[in-house]
Amino acid sequence: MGLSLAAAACGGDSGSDNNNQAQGSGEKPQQGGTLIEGGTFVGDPPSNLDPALNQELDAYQVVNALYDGLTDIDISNPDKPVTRPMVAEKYTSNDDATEWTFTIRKGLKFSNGEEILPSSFQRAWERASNPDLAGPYSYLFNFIKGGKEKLDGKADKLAGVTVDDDNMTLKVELSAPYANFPTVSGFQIFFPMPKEVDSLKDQTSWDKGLMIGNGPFKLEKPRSDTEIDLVPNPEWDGTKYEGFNLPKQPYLDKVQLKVSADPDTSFNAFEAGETDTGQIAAGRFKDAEQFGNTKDVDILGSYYWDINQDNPMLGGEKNLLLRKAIMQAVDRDTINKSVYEDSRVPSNQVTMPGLPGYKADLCDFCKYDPTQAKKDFEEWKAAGNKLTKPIDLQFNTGQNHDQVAAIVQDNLKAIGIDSKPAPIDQENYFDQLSDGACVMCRAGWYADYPTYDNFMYDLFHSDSAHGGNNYSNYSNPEFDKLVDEAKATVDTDKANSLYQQAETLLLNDAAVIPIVWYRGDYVFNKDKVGGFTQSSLGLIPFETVFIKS
Amino acid sequence: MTSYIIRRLLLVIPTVFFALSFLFFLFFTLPGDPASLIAGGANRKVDPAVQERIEARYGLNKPLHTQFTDYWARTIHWDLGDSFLSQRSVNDILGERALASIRLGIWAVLIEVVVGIAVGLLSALRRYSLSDRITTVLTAAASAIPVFVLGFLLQWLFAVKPNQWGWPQWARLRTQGIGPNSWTLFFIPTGDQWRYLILPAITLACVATALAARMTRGSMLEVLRADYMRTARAKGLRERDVIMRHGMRNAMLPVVTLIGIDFGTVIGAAVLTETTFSWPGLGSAIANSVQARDLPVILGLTLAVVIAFAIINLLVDLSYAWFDPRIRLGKGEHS
Amino acid sequence: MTLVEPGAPTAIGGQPEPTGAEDMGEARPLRADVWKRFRRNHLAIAGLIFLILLVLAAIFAPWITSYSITERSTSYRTGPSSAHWFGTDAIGRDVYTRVVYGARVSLKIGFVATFLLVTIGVVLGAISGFFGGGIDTLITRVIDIFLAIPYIVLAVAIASVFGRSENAVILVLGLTGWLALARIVRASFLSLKNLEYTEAATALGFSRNRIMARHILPNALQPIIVYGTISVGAVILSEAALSFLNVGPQDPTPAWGLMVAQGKGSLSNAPHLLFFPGAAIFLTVLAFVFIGDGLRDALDPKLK
Repeated sequence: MGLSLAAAACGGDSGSDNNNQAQGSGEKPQQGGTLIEGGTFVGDPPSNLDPALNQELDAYQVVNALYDGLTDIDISNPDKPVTRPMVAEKYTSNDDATEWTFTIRKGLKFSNGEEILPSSFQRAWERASNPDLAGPYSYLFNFIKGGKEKLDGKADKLAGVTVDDDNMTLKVELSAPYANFPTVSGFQIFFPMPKEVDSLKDQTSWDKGLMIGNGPFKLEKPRSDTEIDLVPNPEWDGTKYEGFNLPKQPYLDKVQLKVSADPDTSFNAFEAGETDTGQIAAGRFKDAEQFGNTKDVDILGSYYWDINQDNPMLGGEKNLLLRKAIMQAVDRDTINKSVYEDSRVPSNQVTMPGLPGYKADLCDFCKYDPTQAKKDFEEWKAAGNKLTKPIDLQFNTGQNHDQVAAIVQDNLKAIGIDSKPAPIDQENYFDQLSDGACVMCRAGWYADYPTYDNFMYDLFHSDSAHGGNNYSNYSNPEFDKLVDEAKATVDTDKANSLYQQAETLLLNDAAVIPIVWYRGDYVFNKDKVGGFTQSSLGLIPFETVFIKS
Repeated sequence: MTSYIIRRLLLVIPTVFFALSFLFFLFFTLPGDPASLIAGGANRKVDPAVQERIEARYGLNKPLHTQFTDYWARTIHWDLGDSFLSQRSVNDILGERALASIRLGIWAVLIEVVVGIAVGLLSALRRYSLSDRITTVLTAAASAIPVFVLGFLLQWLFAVKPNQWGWPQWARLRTQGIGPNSWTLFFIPTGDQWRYLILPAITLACVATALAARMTRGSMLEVLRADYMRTARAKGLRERDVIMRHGMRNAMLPVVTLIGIDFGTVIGAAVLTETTFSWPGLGSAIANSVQARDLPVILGLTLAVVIAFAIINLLVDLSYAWFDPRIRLGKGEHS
Repeated sequence: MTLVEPGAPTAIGGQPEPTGAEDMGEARPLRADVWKRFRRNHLAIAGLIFLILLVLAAIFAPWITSYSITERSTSYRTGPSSAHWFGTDAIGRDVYTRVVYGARVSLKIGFVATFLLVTIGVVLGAISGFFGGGIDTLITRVIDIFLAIPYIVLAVAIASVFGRSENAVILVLGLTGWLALARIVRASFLSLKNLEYTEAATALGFSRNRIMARHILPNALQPIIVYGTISVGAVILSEAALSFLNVGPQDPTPAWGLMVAQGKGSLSNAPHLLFFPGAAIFLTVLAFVFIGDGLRDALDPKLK
């Protein structure tokens, strides 16, 4: 999957990282060279490279280089990101967004020369929705008509998928109206597969060997636990994707992704010159400034605290003032400056810049205002309410959420609210939250795909409560209605306006306390590496990275 | 002698069985569902239908005793199964990781043996002199540094700083990885390999060397005072002969025990060094698989470590007979 | 075995497991002699003084520090200054205060875990060595099995059940550290029970428990005392190792090991985060090693 960059990044010197466009502007990319990539795998080797099985963000970097999907997001205008057809030439829908027809481009090939046809996608989707394969993201096939039946084992095939290889059309009937399906169809589980997968006895053996893909790179040798080597895919031609400004072939001769066992070691390796790129480890953000870095890239990720609406002390209409007090008591700036070394962005809502449909400042009280917080808290108490016990600030151990909790605890204490940090082991944190254990619990979410509903529906719709990712169990019929309607609205502007109204409701109900938005966290040797950046999904466009001579 | 060896080897079987069975049941009682963790449950709530399918796929929904018998049925044939996380064959993982661990382990133990014993011996011979006191302090100090702190310090001094000071490549060492993984005679590094080997080997060996030095000194001092040494000196033998022929062998007994334990440890439990230097060995693989509840990997790699340990212990005990002919094998306390 | 990779406190003590009865049955030094001999060892005295100071610092922590361990300032990761003697950490807390209070945590973990492992080790080792036979075989088998299991596996398992806290660390180290000591004690009891005065005691009709407790145990004390002393240091080091593996006490507990593990990447830009807690661990472990050495020499019946 590729990434669109500005055609020509004008202005700015090569040291300026103020935009997520091609670094080293004015420098012409040169052909050749090997990139030693050390910033992706900084703790564990990838578990899976198979797009049907992968759920790790790290491994997605590689999967993304090996395959191109039906669509991809274009961020050449960072304020107006838009989904563009990639392997698909165009896509249309019927009026109520229940049926999408993709026309696949002619002449695209897999790395073994096999032509990419609509049936390549059907084959891949049947494979990925096979209940025996049990891919973590297989639930996405619920979007497609017949998907649920296939996943439950009641059907053999996805009823809603029809292909016509002669006319290069792929028709998808959805189980419910969904306007963002084209964006979702660009997600890894929908990547195409060549005929070879049909002859595999064991589907899990696919990524143990040299997977055949249609992306800008292919595997040079089977992956090991210590290194993944990518070389250009000779059958790939980036110029065929109109509007994406990609080269005919990647500039690099090779990408070596090194696996490190410790993030500090990996950053040391970068500082020692052993790798050309690295990931900024905690505590090293100041060091990172002297190198090329992606700190200014807005990532589609949000960090927030959910407040359980089922909790009689905290949830519901009667405790709204308490939650508003909490919202205004938290000093996001201090959290960002201390815990995150000023590397993230204090947030005032769940969605963030770079997300299609994002509108700033949906909530007027979602900011640090301890005076007003205290007033709201007093007013809440005056109405006869009281805190029966300290609020549990729950978080998972192992990362520095304990420091965030410590600051939140102080902030709350300053306005008179008693709270205590309540760490829960990482291994079953989200399971417990989902089972209803959340009181005030910390959560974070990286967009799976760049859509507004990925944040609104997956995190706050009543469908996702009590067993899904909606740990606050927020169930507001008005919110649900807006989101459901937005999902079915094909007109982007109208849909976005509905999503914005929904989020406004959510924020005004103070069911969630936004803390920060994520930003890029890679460093690179700017004397050696050009064109290095991260997309809003955090992905590196290896096909436009080059080595300076 | 042969019957002793056979008996000892047979004893490995129940040890392995009980150790692995204990682990098997231990992990099923632990919080943290492998199926959920496989599907990314450490970062988000997993779709319940997906979790069910994963459980079915790996037989995790079968009753415990069925899973237990299934596990032993395939393990007896040395089929260690497939990793839950990556579906790679555990036999393959074991092969890669064991080689890396053994190679690093051999060098760590070599350093320990050569440097540790030499230092211990010398300080025993020069007991209570200034050099002895200095060595005492140094060895104590070397055993008081947390291993990973030493590792990061060495990395910083020999790889990061040289880059910042612009030293030439030939003067630098490497921070991480196993490098080209090129060896001759199984454990001799070739080409650039030694740059990747040296820092982890020193880090791993540091504490062990200090302890071996102290142990050797203590043991040697005991021996030098012993009655039979007085006899040897009374007979008129030179001090050097007294030491080498009579003292050394007896003094080495406990040291050999220590080295045996150390060799087993560096192969199977060197997780701190391996993580610090990204050396792809067994220790870090076991540690990672425990966090992820990747049962086949945990059990498969631990099985190999347990067997290796047992064999090393056997070799150590066999060596006792060479060191001290008074020890009759088959009796006595060493198991 | 501890995560001091590798090595049991036996080795730190430089004392081999007793293989024979050579040094048993000789006169034990009198208490007064022990102290006199200990006093002559300068390193041991230095270690003892340091330990006393450390314990005092732990007890009087609120009087010698001016902040609380969770109090934050607005200077993040700054080095030593007049306001913050040891600098500040990532969210502005005073490192000096945390290191001083950390003495409480580390000493608690050290002493309690050592007490636990010494108790279990002595009891099981004594039973095993004295009674012999079936129970001896059973206990040695159990020891072998647990010694063979890689440490990290047991550590993570115990931590998962008991949570990641000081108490979990104490349990982990206590429940795994007794193995080597049990072997030593067992060996002592094995050799001692064959001596003449044991026979005499049996002939006189003393109960077995009494013989074990009143006659054998005092003679077997020397390795136990030395091992126990050095264990405290080894346990403190292991706490650091467990924190590195994310199986230890969590924030805001000011455990030295946790601070060192969190600071491992800060060598280049905030070395004080690593240096001060690291030095605390280093000096404390060193102190226990020297004290252990001193005790070993002082209790040794053959040393003149």
